[in-house]
Amino acid sequence: VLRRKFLTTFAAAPLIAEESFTASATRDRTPQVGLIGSHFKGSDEMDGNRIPGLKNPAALNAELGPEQWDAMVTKAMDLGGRRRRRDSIRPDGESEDWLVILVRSGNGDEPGTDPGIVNSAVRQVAQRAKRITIARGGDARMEGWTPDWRQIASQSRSRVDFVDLNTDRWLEAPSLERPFARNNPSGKYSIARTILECDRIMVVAPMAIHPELGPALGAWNYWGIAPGAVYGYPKNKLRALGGVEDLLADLYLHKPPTYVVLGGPWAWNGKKIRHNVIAAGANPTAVETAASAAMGFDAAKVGYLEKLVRRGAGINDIWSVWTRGHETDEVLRDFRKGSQS
Amino acid sequence: MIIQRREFLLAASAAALPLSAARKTRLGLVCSRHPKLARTASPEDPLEMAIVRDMVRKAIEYGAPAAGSLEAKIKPGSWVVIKPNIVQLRPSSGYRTGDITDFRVLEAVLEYVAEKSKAGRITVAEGGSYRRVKDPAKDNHAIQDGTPVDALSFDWGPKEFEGWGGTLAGMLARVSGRHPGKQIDYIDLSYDAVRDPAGKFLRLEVPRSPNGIGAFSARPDYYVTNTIRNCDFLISVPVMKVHLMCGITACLKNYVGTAPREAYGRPGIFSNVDLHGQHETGGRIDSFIVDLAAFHPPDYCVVDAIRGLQRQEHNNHRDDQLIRSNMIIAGEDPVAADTLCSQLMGFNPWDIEMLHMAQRRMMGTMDLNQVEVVGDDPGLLSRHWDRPGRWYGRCNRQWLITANPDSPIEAWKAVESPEDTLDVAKLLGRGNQYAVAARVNSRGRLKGYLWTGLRGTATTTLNGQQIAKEHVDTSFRIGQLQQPIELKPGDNQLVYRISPVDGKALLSVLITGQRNDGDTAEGLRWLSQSS
Repeated sequence: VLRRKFLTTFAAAPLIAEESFTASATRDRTPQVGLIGSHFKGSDEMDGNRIPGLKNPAALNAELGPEQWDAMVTKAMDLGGRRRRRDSIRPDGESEDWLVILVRSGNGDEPGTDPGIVNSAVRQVAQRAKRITIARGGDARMEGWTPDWRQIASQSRSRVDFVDLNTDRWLEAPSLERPFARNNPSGKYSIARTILECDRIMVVAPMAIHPELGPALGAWNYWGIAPGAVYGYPKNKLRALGGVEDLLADLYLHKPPTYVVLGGPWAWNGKKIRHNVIAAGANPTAVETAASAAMGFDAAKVGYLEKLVRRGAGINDIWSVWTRGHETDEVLRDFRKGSQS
Repeated sequence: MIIQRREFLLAASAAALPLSAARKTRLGLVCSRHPKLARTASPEDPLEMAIVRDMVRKAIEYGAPAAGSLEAKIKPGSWVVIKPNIVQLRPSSGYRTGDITDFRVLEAVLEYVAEKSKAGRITVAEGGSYRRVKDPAKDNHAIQDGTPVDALSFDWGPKEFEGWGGTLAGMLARVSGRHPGKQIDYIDLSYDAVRDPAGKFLRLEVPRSPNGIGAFSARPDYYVTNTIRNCDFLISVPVMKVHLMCGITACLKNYVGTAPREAYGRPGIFSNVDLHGQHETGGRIDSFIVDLAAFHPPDYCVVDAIRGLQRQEHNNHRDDQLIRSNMIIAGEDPVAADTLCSQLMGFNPWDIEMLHMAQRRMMGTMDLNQVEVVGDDPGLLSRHWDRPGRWYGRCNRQWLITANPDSPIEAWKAVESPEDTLDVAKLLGRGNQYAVAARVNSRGRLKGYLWTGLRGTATTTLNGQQIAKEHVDTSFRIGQLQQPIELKPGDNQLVYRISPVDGKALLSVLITGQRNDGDTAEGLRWLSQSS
């Protein structure tokens, strides 16, 4: 509540500043993130408008049915804001774009992206993409896409296909930004061509922790865009180029996502836990910032986010993020902190 | 021998310009460490007003027009307009230092013209994205100390331009006080649209150049201002920086500020939003830049290259956006000046579309071999400025096309595409298969990347070898498909066999260098199919 008051005050601040600009187009440019816990019963917007709650709210650690998850994803994406039409994944009207949904492979007990969440997200964007490719490429060789995934294609009105980025065609692509990785001063990385050639990327990832990163959210999916066919299984040749945070930031900056959906039935806190929260929005680092806060992390201290912000990829200041739906403290669960955070 | 002949032909075609026939265009380039300045400073250090003034005067001296000097070119009693770039004021969220012309440069030019020329009236004229003080509208006013201000009255304080402080009004009064015989004033071009006798905004068609070139935009008539049309002598005084939509902004792009916002804005939006909507061509704004310049091309240019912005023209809220170069460029050829600016920012001038258009309209030359740069060595001062995120250079325009791919290539039709994208199906009519070819000359063996934008199914061959087969039925995007290629020295031939998808067959082709940043590779030229 205090943070909301701060944002309201902040929005009004230019009106009383010594030098200011008056514009009749008063669109609020504060990054918006839809943040919905499974117990969401409605909330008030900063302007006093009411956001209706979920039809079947449930406890944050309850086991939910597919309809409940679908309702949460839909609401979070509805509230998650839109960017300029040119950039938005959800522009008004039809689109001929090729959208890649970058998901994460599970690793042992650690859950990957949930296909049900992706299915809900696909329903939200189906009218706005001519082709949707679901893509992943983890540290291990893939065993193929399970029926849970395949049914997304059969249920969608859009053309949906699947790509294993580890074995995709790739291009040695130089970074347009100054690279972070210490042993890769040229910034050249082999990147799956699906990623380079698509029009937009949407990231769907579970909330998890990682021993080297702290919160491992949407950006961690970018580990998958560097193909295992080049970097090995696991990607030790990639790790040889620099620290994980540096590599992640470099890979991410090759083609940042235009939309992010975080959360799902299982989160990873060193073990599988239920933490029924969805965060979604068109400002990727703002979504990561809000989700980090919901996991008890201060995003300003998360290394890879700080690097992304330094290269102009967004913000990591929770005080500058407008969460719509729940406030972060209403869905807070303290995840385990590693040495990074 | 073949390569030499090609190079000769290329050089000859570029040299076939009237300006270069009699005398090389001269540009003055002065850096703050130039040895003939009274006092010098490091290119990395803030400058004092006295050094800026000295740099401007030296650059004008070095960049003397064909008339012998700037003052000699200005006829006695004439109305001189000085057009800076003051697109924003500091209260705007998009503003940051380096966004607009340095007021010290503006004052130095104003002083020079007032002191040396016999001009009767000197007007500083600009139209920015802020309303004038007296505008009764409630939106888009810049506010300072609770009071609406505009370009004339905004007080920049002592820090924005080191060693200079105050307002534009104060600057005009100061110079006017020293030259009481001259009328010195300011005109807000945003409110200066040409109107018909009934008071309605009047559209005027782009004047044809001596060689018969009219508008580049599909819509040839524009709202323009009385000041630009009627003044006798126009000096463009822009800031040099990167631009999201056209690569660089300097002398020519400065003309966007001459489009009256009272005609091109919309309720609540005081910018040239309708200028973009009505006159953009093929996703580029170069067409309306050069069209606007045609109403009164610059008679002289002084470019502020002291501080500029990389990646985009306004504030991107990154600490490393501002580039300090401490340079001044001056000369009477705006095309040459902008070509030099693009080179100083590390661009390949070939990629700047507006330079090609302005050269076609005989506004000047973009061939730096035809330009004498006096003062400092641009080769030592050039550096790489970061490009906009989605930057791409100028795609090939010279094509051979056919709806009968099995016919001999000699029988294919030569076409020149006015835009980056070739609409093959539109040019050749409905069909199942087309073929297009392009020739590109490389000065040596070149390793680079082929950037293809495609709508359709295409097989690509380079010098007879198939190098790709692609199918794209989603959104068309220039540079979507990228692949490493190697060109041999001399002529290389690219051939695309294309089948349309949903009746559409679109193609764009660009070849970048090893950096693969969207710039056309150095030493590479697309060849006319008729040569």
